Amino acid sequence: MGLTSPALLYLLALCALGLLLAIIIDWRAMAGRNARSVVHRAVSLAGLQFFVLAFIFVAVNRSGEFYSSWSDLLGLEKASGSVVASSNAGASRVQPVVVTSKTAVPVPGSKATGGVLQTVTFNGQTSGVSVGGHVFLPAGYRPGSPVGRYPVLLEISNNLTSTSSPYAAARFAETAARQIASGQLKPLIIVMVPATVAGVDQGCLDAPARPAVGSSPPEPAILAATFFTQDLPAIAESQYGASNNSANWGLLGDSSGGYCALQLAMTHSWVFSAAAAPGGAYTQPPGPVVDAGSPQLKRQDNLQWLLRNQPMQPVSLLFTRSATTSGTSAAAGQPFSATATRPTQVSTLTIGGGGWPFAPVLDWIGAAIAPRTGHVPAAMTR
Amino acid sequence: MGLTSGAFQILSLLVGIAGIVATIWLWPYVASWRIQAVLARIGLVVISEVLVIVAFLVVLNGYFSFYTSWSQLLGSGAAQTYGFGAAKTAKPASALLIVNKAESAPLPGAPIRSVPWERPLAAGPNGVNLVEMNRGEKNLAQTGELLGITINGAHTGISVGGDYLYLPPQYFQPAYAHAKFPAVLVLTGYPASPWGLIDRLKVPGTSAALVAQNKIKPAVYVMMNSSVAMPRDFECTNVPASLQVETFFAQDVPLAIERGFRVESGPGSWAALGYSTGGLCAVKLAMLNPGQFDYAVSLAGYYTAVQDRTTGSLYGNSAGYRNLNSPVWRLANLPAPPVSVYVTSSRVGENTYKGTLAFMRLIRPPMRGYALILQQGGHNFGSWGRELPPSLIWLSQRLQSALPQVSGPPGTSAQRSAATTADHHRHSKSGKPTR
Repeated sequence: MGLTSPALLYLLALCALGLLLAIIIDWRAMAGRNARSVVHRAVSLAGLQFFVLAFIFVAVNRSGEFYSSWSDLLGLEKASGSVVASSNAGASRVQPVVVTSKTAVPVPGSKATGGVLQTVTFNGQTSGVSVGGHVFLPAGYRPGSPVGRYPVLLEISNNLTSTSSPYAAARFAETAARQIASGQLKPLIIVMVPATVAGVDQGCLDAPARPAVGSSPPEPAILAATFFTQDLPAIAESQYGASNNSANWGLLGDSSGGYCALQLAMTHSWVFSAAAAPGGAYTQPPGPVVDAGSPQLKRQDNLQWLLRNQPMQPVSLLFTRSATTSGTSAAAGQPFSATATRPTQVSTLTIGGGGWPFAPVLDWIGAAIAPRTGHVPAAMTR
Repeated sequence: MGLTSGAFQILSLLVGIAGIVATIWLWPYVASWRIQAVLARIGLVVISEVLVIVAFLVVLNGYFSFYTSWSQLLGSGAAQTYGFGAAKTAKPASALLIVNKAESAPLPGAPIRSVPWERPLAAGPNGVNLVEMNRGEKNLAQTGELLGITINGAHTGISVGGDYLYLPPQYFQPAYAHAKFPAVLVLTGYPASPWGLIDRLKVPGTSAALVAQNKIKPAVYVMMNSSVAMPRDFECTNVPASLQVETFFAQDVPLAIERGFRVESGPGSWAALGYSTGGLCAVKLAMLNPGQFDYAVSLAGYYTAVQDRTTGSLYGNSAGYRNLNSPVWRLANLPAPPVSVYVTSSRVGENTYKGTLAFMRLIRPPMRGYALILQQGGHNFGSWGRELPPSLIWLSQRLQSALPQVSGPPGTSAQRSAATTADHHRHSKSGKPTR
């Protein structure tokens, strides 16, 4: 009879009940004060215990699937198994980055070349997200140099192709070239990606898939956070010789991209150590709701809630304030500076108009992520 | 008195025996056929039965290491965990890793002595040689060392004690003095205690024996409870607006170990292994963090996002977020991650068998899957003990190995790899083929 068969269970229950009944009925026959009666009692009780414990063991074993057979229980099973491998069919590799064009970046007010701006498509291996973007490589850039691998600034903005915005790729690259040429910024790689990936501006969060509701069709999962925190760093490190140390990775964003930058820094401080964004409240992500109806997901997408409730992360946050607009306290990043304690650091910077409004921001973030010479002491690098 | 202490087990056995003796003693006094006497008989038998059952359960719990303390059984263990939702002042500015106990590691086949917990012996993220401090007269180059550790999560604020770190004998040998070792995160099922990984699954003993037979290369094993706050089962999930358990195991634990010990941090240097719930954890951690864990071993694990009485709400009441935590759903709906997994089950005796086959059918490149299927074997340490050696061999064929220093010109790769002990880097997986 098998160890896990129901028949064994019923048999044990029957034996236990039958014996219990027999003991109660035959009680008087065993009630003598002589040794024989005492032994009789002890044996009867021991038998009852045996059946009850055996019943419990078999029942628990059946529900927990601990031992599958008598030989399993007694440790007699010795045979090893066979190994099968998964199918290797459909092996295909997408290029992690495809460069579609390159332009030289001029240094404003000079004839020198300040670097190269590539227009590229990034193909995220883990997220499956593909998105067009740009890569700025500074003058004198050599890929794969083992010493002093390049720090990386990740700029997230939906205005990369704009002709007027200071966040536009070409103008931002020129700002960087100007600051590098003047020695105020150490050479760095700038990766520029829109906040809108897969057609949705979702605050660079991992959006779960949504089933069809009424007339609206189902929506697939869009793993934007996975793209920004796993795929992009892997691409920058393997394809561009970028640093793989979080101490050398910073973020910068405008409105939507600003939420992205702060959100990614606060939830993935083992990837990024600094972020710059316009001052604001940041209590919810931009764009359509991606919290899948979950109040908990909605709560942790509120960056002020995050700052109040999760441990302080080892990141430096910079809130920028325009000199031309009358600033509210939120615009100065006040809710964040009031709450943050070490190791989170919050700074504010007033930026003027002029031709290169982001020059001081770039200088700040460049200093924050520049490689320290020699030993890197306290930075969280994972 | 500890739930699994020998004294408590003996006490409960004595109480059970006393119940039987009392029943035999009182037997003649209730031998009439009056209704009170018959009821008294039934009462006597039932009470002695219950006492014996309690003793039986106490001994079984000790044997299987389900719950190791009263707080784990009753739930006050949650108090030691901080994180989302807790006041941030609750997070002490503590060392990433604290050593509570250091002992020679058990040798293969030798009896395993329990390692009692003590006050912290050493602590520190950097600069402190945690191991040398506790070396004493012990011959660690022959035995290796077993450390009782507490890990304080730098990013998640989760703080757990009661876990173990095994350093192989080679760690203490001169030839490996500058070598960095690969690491395997070993996770228990639920409910369980990490000590079971040492005295029931025998991870240190099995790996030491396989290294001695030259079948595997030495590695460091971090042996932890998959539950960070017993008695709750977290399934290694980042719980929305609450404890970020996945991040704790994927980021905080490797950081704490790499800071404290000569453990490699580059590609191919970390793997996760677990049984049952720990198997799900290992596969999920690798699939969600392919840059951290290149390989996963799941002994009789399952591959769906479970939620039940012991887990409580894990997915923020969102079916979509729950799906993102299911390896099966991810494989069916998202790109396959660049990791390799080794999964085990049994044709007879395992209700994980069908789920394992279904999971294997979904695996496609660049992910690679290997399934070890026993003809027969239940959900127990006997089966997992049979599956462990081939699993460790499979892992060792893939993990980066610690290179001993050979006599020769200076500047061998072992020296180079040890040159940057203080630096910790993310892995870079792009373009790396998986095996």
